[in-house]
Amino acid sequence: MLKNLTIAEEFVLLALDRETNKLKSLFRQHIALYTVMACMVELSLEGKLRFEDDDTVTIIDSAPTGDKSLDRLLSIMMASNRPKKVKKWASYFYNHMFKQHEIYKLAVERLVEKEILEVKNKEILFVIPKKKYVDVTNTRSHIVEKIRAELLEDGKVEEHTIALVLFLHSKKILNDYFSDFERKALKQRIEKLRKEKIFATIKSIDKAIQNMDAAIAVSTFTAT
Amino acid sequence: MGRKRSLEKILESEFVSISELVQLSDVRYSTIKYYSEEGLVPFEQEDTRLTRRYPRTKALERLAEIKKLKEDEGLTIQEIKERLLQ
Repeated sequence: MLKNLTIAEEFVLLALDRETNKLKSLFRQHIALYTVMACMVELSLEGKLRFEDDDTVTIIDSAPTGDKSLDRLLSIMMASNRPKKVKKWASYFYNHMFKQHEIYKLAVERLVEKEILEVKNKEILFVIPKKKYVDVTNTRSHIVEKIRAELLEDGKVEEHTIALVLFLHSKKILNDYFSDFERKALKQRIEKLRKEKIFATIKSIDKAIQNMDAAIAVSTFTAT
Repeated sequence: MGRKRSLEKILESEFVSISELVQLSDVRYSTIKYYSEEGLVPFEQEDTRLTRRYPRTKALERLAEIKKLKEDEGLTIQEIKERLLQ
């Protein structure tokens, strides 16, 4: 049975796939930053923060969620002197590598605690230590099956699944798990959902995801 | 259940494979797999490495029930799970 996972945990799992990993170096480089962004999306779904029309991120409930990575992000955001816009937060974390990696590490640790991921210590050329993560319960496939069952079949869809697909789509991860035909069908379903009531709450998240990507692209361009 | 069986044979069987259940129900393979993992569709499996055997009548009834709850009551899979596995 699929354990309750956050968008960030699902993203980390799907991104760690070694067999189908055809990710661009840019993606691998920013996995921690993307995890932070996924945590932000999750906090919005959990009603902890809100993406305003002018893109400002407002904390509406600072009570801990019980998830270490989400709570760490919440505490960092709470410590900010004034509310920032999505793009500002994306650039903030882009420039604070330690903080993004801390949140990413917490998300991975949580997956290990849930016995979904197993960490295997490996050595490259018998010298350089490297950690290898193994999806022991094949949860990746289960997440993909969940997306297929909800979005490629008729019926009501969970907000969480829509937000997950929008996030995965923005990171081009869907290409690794879904065929061209399925991706086309997913796109059509999302377009259809955009006109439905459920998308009213997802709309701000959709916009925020696009703004995060724009900010990361600008930060990367400026840094190079 | 190694070889492909005729529809007559499948309809006479007490247990069917997931592919046969797809054929009978017209529900996507991965969706049945997901429902099974979520405990919504009953199956038997002697070992985790062995093929799952679905009780034909019960599994088809359950799939029809899920479809009905989705269409008539507009429930999400999570809500259906809560309703059926109470």
